[in-house]
Amino acid sequence: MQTVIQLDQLCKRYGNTTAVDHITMQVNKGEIFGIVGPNGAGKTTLIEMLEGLRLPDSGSATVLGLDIRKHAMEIKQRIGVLLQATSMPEKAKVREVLQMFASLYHKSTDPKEISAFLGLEDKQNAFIKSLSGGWKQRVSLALALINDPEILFLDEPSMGLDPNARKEMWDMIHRLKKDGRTIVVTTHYMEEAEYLCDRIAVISHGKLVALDTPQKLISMLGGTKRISFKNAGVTGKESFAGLPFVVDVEWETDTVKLHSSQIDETLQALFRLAAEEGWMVSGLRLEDASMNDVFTEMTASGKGIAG
Amino acid sequence: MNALVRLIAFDFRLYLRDWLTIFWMLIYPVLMLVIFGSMFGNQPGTEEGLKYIDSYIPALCAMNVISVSVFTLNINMITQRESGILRRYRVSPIRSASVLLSHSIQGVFLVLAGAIEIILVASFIWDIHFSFSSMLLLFACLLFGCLSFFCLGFALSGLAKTPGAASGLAMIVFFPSLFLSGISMPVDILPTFMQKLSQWLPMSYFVELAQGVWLGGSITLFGTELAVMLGFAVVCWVLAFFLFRWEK
Repeated sequence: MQTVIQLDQLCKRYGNTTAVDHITMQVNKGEIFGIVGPNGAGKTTLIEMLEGLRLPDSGSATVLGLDIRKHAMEIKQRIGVLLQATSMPEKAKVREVLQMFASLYHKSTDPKEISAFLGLEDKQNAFIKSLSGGWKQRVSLALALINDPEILFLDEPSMGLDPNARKEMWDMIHRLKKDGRTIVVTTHYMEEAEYLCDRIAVISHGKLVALDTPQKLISMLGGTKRISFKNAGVTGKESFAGLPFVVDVEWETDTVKLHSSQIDETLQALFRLAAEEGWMVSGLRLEDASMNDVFTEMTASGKGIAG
Repeated sequence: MNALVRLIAFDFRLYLRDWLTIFWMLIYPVLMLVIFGSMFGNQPGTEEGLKYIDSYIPALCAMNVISVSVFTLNINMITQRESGILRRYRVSPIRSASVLLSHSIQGVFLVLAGAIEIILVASFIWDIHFSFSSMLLLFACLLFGCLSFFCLGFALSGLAKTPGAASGLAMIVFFPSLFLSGISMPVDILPTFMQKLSQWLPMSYFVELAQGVWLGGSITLFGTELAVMLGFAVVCWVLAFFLFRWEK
């Protein structure tokens, strides 16, 4: 497998905080690589160093074999970056923006071709200002693809998009992967990370706490499942937490969710408890763990769960 | 090089589509010219054989340099930074300097277009003092002023977050210049303490220089003004270097 991005003990500090703390990892050619983590975990700083916008304090990184310290300009020629949809001049027309940015690169795709690929043919003479959020996002994506990039960086690609537009964005990302591009995506939405990514890096407090496929990350939780039911309002949170094999309780006024590592045992104990106290377990649902659980578990404690 | 030319052409369209820029840079100065000119235009000026309008023309041209800097460039840089347009340039292979250069060229265009417009309109209405060589010398001085004032505009853009706040800051710089530096009225008629204040404004020297060369003075007569302007340029460059920001 070919490596297109290689990080070695990469560090970046701002005053006393270490935004990126000795991260070593690699991204393989042709994969969709996710970077997740809470706000302020250092995702953005990390990505910005790879995009050639910031210099690291120590450690090293190469993108497409080019050192980020020495060859930022060459890296910029060969990568694409999806930015927020607002970052285009409102008084420019779609065609003008595409042509202008195409002219900045040594190698560029014909704006017409990209427009056809993204369904922008009819919007060529529209002012950016007049476009809806979804359309702006497409123009933004067209700009990220204008130099036929080998690596595409997507920062929160579906932020602010409605569910339909989000689905379209995901389909688009899968199509881009089929073209052989490597895609690095940061996201808040664990559902998105789980659905899109081949591998996910979980970053917390500047450190890499886990890196694996979504399935492996979820199974690392040791088969934790969730038991969800209607909150009858009789039993207190502490009693639920005291049931066998319960590792966590999500408490809301109308529903209770028990995270259990031995779902059969916990269920039996739950029914026994309900019978003793004279209430019915209703609205019962069993859920598998998801990337959401991985995210909560791994980033709350600030340390990994592997091992 | 091709990239820079394309960027300049692209920005040129954006500037022309901004009606606020067009108003303040190409309409407002002419309104000032016609209004103040029709009131005082034919009154005798400070020098023998010259009229008020003759010193008002170069003063308005100088005002344009200041207003394009503190309003147009300042606000455009803030808008582009806060919406993330500057960031888009930064992730592309264009050099940061090219982005600033393109905006500066739009500023120079507005300043020169405004100057030509003012001179043309004035020459239609009044019998003005005019010589071609003085005009070229005036343009050279305006460009020299752009060097410092544009940097002041870029520096100011680092201080405010919204175009509204930016306009407020711009006013603080602009209005003292308008009243104290001899643009709208000769400094001689101001009260003594305001004349003192005027001596501390770099704009006063700029207006003095513009008026001097327009009225046929040799550039060698304005050593002090040129020296002050040069010092001011250095200060503005340093300010811009420390205050200008690419990111939110």
